[in-house]
Amino acid sequence: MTTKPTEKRSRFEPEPMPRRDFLGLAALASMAAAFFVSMFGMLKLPKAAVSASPAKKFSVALPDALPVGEAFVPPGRSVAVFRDGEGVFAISTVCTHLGCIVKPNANGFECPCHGSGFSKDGSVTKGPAPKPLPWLKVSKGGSGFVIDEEATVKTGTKV
Amino acid sequence: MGEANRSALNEFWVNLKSVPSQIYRAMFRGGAPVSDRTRSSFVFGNVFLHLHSVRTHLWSLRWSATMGLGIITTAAFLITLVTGVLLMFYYKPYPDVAYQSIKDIHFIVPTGRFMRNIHRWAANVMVVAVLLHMARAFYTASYRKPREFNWFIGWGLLVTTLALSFTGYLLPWDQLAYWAITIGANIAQSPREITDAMGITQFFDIGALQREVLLGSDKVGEESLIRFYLLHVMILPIVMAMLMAVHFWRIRKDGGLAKPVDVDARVKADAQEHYPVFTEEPKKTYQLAAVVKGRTPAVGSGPENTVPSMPHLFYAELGVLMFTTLICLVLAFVSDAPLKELANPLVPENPAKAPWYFLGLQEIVSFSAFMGGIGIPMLCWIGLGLIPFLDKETEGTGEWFGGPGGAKLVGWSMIYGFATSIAVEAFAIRFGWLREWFPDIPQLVITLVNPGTVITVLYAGFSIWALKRFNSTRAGALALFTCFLCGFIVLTVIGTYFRGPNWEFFWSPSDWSAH
Amino acid sequence: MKKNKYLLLISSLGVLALLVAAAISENFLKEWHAIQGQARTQEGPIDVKLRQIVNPDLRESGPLRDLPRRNGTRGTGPFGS
Repeated sequence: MTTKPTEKRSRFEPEPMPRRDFLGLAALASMAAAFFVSMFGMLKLPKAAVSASPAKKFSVALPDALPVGEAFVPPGRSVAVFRDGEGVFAISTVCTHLGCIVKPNANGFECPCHGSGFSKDGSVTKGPAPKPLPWLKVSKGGSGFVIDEEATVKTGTKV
Repeated sequence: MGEANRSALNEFWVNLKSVPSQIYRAMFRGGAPVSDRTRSSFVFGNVFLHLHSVRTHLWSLRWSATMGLGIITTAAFLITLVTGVLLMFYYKPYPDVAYQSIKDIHFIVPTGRFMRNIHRWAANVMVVAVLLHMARAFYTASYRKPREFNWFIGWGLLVTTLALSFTGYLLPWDQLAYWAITIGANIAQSPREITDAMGITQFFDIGALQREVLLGSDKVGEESLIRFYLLHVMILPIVMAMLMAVHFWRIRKDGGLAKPVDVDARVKADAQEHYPVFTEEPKKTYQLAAVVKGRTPAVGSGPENTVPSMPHLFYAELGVLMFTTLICLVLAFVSDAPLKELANPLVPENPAKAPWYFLGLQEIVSFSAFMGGIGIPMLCWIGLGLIPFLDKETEGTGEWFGGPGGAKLVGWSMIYGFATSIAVEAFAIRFGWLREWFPDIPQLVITLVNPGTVITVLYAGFSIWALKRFNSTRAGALALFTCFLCGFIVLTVIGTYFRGPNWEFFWSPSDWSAH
Repeated sequence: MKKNKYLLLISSLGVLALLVAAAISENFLKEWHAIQGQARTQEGPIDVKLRQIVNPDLRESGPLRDLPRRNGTRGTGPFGS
């Protein structure tokens, strides 16, 4: 940091900042870079790599006497399983609005949180829900049927 | 030798006897605070007191200047800090165990129930006080130069206060807490409503990312509880303390409270009671031995009409501190903090309600998750933060409802703000909204046109009218701020008292149908 | 300043009064004190323990998790019998 000795100095600015201080700028810039990269690393930590929730795939044994149109809710799961003449299908009971658990009723489903209503096939009939309830993938196996809560299928797919 | 020994022993004895008085004298660097002069040196020499200026203007000491709202907020924070640390002795942040420990605190721990009640009420008092404090700063136009940055810090403090309160809401791990947080976390996911409508969710799912980082899992569980606990007892209080330090420091550095230009003509110190200490206005102040240039707020105006902060300001502060404590204790004494049954992730509460200060948002969320949860709040947030940079007028600084339009405009804005929000809500409750009339309507239309956005547009229109009518940005700001405040109150009241099971409208909770 | 002094005085007295009231209700008025007072056997009062199940007939008293294992009874309430 050199200043021309001929320059007149003010009492308030005894040592003006040199215009080009490559060393100082490089040092500060690398510190800023190190800071931001470390921030990025630290922010990586809170985002879990593996979700700690229980397995999303589970098998379910349907009661033999399940009437057509009546929902069977496997204990501990937010899924409604139905059986009719064409086969078995599962509809998620997690409301597409804000994630409350919808309740099966005579006309379909209703959400207790914000009053969304869904018909028997999960399509929205009422309220703020932006999307129909997804149909979940059902396959034969296990103790009857295996339902995968992560895989959705087209509405109307029955096994 | 014997004589020297005796005198040293004697001296030791004399010193030992005077230890208490010596400690007392050593505590005060400038001598004991008994005169105005030594009190002043005590204030600026004391680590806890030096955030105060040594002298306080009489204008700032009037009750109507601030109504003590800043100190009330601080006092409520201190109360939550003390009671919160006490609760941590017994609280265990693990699902089910957490619920049991709150139950223990409620039923078994000595004074536990009282402490928990105080903690909860002080938190609510703090939320209310911080909102009113913001309104005070706005209506007295105290955000103007040189206080723009402090308004900004206060804006951060508002967010931190709400976040602290919200994270504390989950900790009891009862049904109330669990479902309030589920709804809150899903609001964080609501940008999906937009990405879904645009069909880009699979490439850019910002909503799910926000939710996942907040909860640490795909639903509210043990990871979420420990995260909320960490935020509540560690991260947010540290952020809060740092912001508060800057906030207080800037009040002092920006020249105390905002005052009208002609303040000295309005307030006159009683010559009998307060002897003027300065006979001349100082022409400059020196900082860091004159190396640093710049003016402090006292340059060019004598510090007359000020009184020593000790004791005048300190009596006011202590009075407000104890008053806040009294309010919190009264509330804690008459009303117990709720504790419902253990959280059950499979059975939602009906109705499931967020904390009260978010019920206004939940009311608009019940039409569109994105607009109610993200869109409109963000708009308000950004608008609030930018106020000092958009209104650069000078008329009415430091006065209640100062500026063009004044109290009359605020009155009209209140009427308009209440009337429009009540009218739009009444319409939506009575006749339903778009989906009831057109079942196949695209979601994007509902996201753009819903009661929340309609109210916002009506308010913005009124604000523009006021801005043109008075030819002043301050008038526009007064109108807009008042309207949003009224809208917030209306929506919060509807969400709190008039929404029952399935978020249906009820005139009174006693009409709620049993579910 | 006088106004502020009165505010401080009245608020502090109010806080003191409430603290005393809270202390009284905490120490004398809690309903479990009365229930505890009834829980006596011939040998005297039964000890208070965390999450307690008391069975006066068996003169058993202990934490909830221990009791059923010890004597095969299942507690149903504070005085499960």
